[in-house]
Amino acid sequence: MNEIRIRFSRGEEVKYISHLDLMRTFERALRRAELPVSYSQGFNPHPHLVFGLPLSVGIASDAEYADIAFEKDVEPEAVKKMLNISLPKGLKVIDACKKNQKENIMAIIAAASYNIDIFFSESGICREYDNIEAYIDSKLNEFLELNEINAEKNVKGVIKNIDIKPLIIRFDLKKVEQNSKKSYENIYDAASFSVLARAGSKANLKPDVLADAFCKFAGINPAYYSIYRTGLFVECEGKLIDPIHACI
Amino acid sequence: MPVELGDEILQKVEKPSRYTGNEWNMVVKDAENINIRFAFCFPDVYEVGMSHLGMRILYHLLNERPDTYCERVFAPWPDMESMMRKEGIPLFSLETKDPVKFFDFIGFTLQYEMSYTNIINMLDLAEVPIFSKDRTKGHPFVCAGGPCAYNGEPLADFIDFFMLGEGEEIINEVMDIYAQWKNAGLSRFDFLKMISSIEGVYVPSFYDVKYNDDGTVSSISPIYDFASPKIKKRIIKNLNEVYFPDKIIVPYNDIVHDRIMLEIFRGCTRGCRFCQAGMIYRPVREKSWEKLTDIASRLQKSTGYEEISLASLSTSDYTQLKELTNNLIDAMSPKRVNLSLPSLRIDSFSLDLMEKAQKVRKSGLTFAPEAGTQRLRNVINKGVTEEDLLSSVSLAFNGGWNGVKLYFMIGLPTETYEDIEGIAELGQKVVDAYMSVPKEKRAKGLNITISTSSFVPKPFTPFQWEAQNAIDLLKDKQLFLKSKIRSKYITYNWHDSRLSFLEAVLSRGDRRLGRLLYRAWENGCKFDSWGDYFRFDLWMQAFEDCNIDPAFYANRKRSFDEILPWSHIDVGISQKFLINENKKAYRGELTQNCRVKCEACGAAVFGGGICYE
Repeated sequence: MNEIRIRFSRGEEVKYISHLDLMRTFERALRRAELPVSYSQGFNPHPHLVFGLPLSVGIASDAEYADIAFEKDVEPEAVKKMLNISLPKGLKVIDACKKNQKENIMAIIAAASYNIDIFFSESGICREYDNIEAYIDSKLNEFLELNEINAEKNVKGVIKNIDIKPLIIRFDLKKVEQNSKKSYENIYDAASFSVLARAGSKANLKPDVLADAFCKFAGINPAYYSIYRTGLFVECEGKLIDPIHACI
Repeated sequence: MPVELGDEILQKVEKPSRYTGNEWNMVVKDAENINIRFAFCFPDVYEVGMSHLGMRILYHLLNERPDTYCERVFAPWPDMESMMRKEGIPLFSLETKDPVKFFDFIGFTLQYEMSYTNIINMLDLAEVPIFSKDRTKGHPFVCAGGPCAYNGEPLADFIDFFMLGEGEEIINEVMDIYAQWKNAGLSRFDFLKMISSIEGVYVPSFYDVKYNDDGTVSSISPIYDFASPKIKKRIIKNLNEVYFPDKIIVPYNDIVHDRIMLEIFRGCTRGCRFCQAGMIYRPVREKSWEKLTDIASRLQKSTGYEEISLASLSTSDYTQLKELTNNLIDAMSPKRVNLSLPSLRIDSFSLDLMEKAQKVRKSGLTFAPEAGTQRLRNVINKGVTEEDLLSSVSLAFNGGWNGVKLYFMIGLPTETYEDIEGIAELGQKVVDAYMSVPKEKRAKGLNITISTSSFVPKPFTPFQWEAQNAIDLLKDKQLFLKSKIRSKYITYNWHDSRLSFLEAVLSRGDRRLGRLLYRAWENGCKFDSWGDYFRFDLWMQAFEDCNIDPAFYANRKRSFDEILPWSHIDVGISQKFLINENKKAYRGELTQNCRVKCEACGAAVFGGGICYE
């Protein structure tokens, strides 16, 4: 089996498509590219195509990964080039390499990083604090010092309480901006965070679950979040590294 | 200026990719340097609208013109609509997100009557005056086409002009005149006058309709000399020469028909007397299998689709089906592209074909006997016998199939309770046919579905004068049939007769129903063909508010000499033929398939197709 690992971005144009839609889009792009993809057997043959970690609807990313199996020997650069001709605007292959590892990408993802912008309107936060930035910063410190961080997770329609503390590797406040965004009649403030958290099939922290937990703790009533995935990582000798480098 | 659709909007709606566009093969043009902007509107949700072949063709056809940018607009789902209304976002196109109120044309495709309230709702969301009479310079022209446009009278107050018949040529002729008109700086009236000379263009405001005291139409006459007393539909004479795009949009969403659709012919030779499509699309014209194979391979390359289906009114009647399917399967299976087949007349050829084409479980076969007894099948000219059906299902059961869907209509003219009981008996005979196949030969798990829809009399059919059964009678017939079905292998489904009733009102409606539609919309009706949103009570309230009796339209039998609201529209089928067919129906006489014997329906006037083969 000849396998190629790709890293691709999912831009604003396509961030609202579901994971299922994304898979179908890649399957069709591979057909258009006329690449010799290897297919499964059975009634409904599917290409051997595995994605690293499904991304929720509405999140853009420049760190998506997939492993694709081919029937014939193909060069990573050729796959990258042909796919980029055949993918719709917003999906772009950034890197490709031969995959030498045994496990597929989905099995080895260990962590993910995100930028989270929490938007809230004036009424969304207690304004008795003159300095909102200092307030959020102090709340974040308190939050991270909790022994246990309870969060609500929706598992197939059932709300479950879980302790997410062990899943947070880093959670930093980057900046707070007042009047950051105007949309129609509404004006929003924004607090921007960067997060590194456990991810993958064993333990996974979704960024919106973390944002919900923090907002609840800090007494922020958010209007909405804008989330961007900045990295996916595999673990190698105790270090988190780019899955593309794990290939080599 | 495009509308802004940020996270604060899109995160709060279901399936946001309905509104974001950017699909593969979407046409991108610089709107600044475009003379004509056309908003192609489908008055239903994205997944339904994007499944419509006509829209996919005309979108690319208009975009072949360097002076025109055709963009798509679908009805926003109610969650998005309320978001738009709350934030003051006007209806916008998927391509540029520009508000459609700044476009030159807003074109609706009319596929079913129960989408009419969505048209009014979309005009309102677009911030375009809902009534034609209120539109002035600077407003788009609102036009419509599609099968319901043949009797578009209920929409006459809202639509500036209709395009009747097949759109591939007429729409370009209208755009050519628009370009001239726009340069000349003339009035809206002038434009409508200029296009009214194009065959197939119908400007309802150029006609005056008068009524008798009993509510029937007394006259339909042109107000101006230049308006033709009769408006004739357009057809494409030669389907092998007509435009067909090399590319079609590939949606991200899982739309209803997410595959390449190959239109193999237009029209139908069968002449079922209830079927509007079988009359209005005459004459039958085929595309050659060579042309179709070529289109299929080009579309497959440009889309990457994994499935191709054949589209027509009756696939088994396509004269080159064997050549087409053999060639398609040969060309497509190496590319792992499946051929999906619509319901075919079952014989050894088609069973073999299904085996070859579809590598799927042998579950569902579909048959449409339409009526339960031979007597009634003769009345409707459905040339299918019980023996045909039973030998077909036996063949299928012997071949390993175990699921059969049977479609019927209730409320057909002359129908008795015996005919309805006949449906149950036919279902039982299908069960018996399965049981008579030796156990070791047949597949386990027999599953028969009987579905009944309620007969809706349609304009331009031999039954256009008939009364629809009242809702209570239809319900009684459904319950009666339910009580007669005893086999545990048979599931019975039926359509909501209240919906069929409203369809019957609107499909044969006149201009006075414009008020009603507007009122129904004001009452809150929209997405009427979606069970969750259908509000029969609000419709009935609207009839009451407008003092309109729906039974006058749905349940009244017309005489042959009544002036019907669509009598100024010419679809090429003569009144004489329709009356004769109606009389034959009551005598239970069959009319031959056009390929066997020409019955001089009138469609030869178009100068093409089967009439000249």
